[in-house]
Amino acid sequence: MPRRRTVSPEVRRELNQEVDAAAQVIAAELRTLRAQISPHFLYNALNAVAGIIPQDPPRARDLLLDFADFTRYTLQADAELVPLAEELTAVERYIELERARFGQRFSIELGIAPEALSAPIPHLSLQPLVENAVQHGVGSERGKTHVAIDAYDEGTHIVVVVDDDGPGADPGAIEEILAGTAEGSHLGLRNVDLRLRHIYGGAHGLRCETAAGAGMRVWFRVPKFNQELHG
Amino acid sequence: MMPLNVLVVDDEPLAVSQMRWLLEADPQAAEVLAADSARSAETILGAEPIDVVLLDIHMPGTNGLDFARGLRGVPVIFVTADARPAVEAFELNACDYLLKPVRARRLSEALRRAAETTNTAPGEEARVSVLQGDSTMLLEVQDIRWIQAQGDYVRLFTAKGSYLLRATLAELDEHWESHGFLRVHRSHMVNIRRVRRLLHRGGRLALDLGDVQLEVSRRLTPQVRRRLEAQ
Repeated sequence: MPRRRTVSPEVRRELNQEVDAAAQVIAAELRTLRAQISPHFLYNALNAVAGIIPQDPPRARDLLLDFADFTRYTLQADAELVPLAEELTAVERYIELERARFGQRFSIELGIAPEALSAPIPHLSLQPLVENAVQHGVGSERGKTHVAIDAYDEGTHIVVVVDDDGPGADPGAIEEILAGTAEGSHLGLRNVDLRLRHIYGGAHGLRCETAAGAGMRVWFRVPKFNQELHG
Repeated sequence: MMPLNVLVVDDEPLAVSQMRWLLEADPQAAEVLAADSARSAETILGAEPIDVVLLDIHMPGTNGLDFARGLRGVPVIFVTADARPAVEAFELNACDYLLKPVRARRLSEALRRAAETTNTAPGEEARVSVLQGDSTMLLEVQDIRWIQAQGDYVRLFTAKGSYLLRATLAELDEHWESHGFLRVHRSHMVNIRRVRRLLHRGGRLALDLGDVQLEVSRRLTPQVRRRLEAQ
């Protein structure tokens, strides 16, 4: 397996210089990027529900409820920070829907420290990372993947990690996507990175370790107490 | 109109089962076969008489657009949750483009279009796209006078010039017979409407197309003679 390389914050800062001038641009981008759910996912999920109706109506109903819960969560306009537990519930709904579509083509492993569950994290900061891992894994040549979601306590902070054994990516390409200088298939990561840095400052962006053919590990580290929870 | 044998190509089992369910209720569909990848679709197309392919775009391995690019002689209906590749799909001469979840009525309309393509009398509307420099040209199949094998490609000769198409003579032999093409030699096929004279040279048969004379192989002489004499 090729060796993963950490996407360097220095390189990202450098790449960022050209776009730094635009704090307003970022703010505008935050508004448009925020809580975007992929239409591709939405319609495929609905298609899976439609496909299950003739053969198993009760299961179709369950999935439709998962779909309702998930979209309700993603459409919360006022949510900035939510307890990790709440985001995890949305992630579970998302996984149920993808499981209906892809069956055994992906597996998920959760390792969540109980003390991390109540910690506030940005709304839709974990789910896009999981979606990124699942989509690239099931869409790869191999067609399947294993995704591990971990969260642990580090005293004043919690760390949230998504690690997959999917196709990975060229670290340089991810650096450019995070810096906003390139478009690509991992745009969900930029969305999360921007929001993390907007809320907690530049040092708290998304970290990424990857290489083509070596899977991807993305994580963020956020303070446990310094923000009041909304609602 | 004859009901169509349909091949559904989709990596998601529920998408396939929903399509089966819809097709079973549509009198225009005869047999329904399914493949979960471009590769297995290719195997089925090589072994079964398929009249139309219902093709997903985002699949592991070869995606639907690339697969369609290599398909000859079978109408393709794209079925996807993603509206973005529609323009590219139509450039590939797609018969139709359906968005998931698919309405029965819309599927029925697409099948009707496919049936029209399949049942098109030779000489009507059949076209093939060929690359010329950096653009794609649509060539009327009936303008093609004869075809020469060139490795993995064939050269299509019209009155105006010649064009390369990525296909083998064996593939065209299988699909273009209904357009009035006839294999006359290991390395060439002829549009029988363009044959002006049959030349007999010491027991060998050759076909005169005006500006070119094509030799008929000994093995194929009886069937070529039969076919041309039936004209």
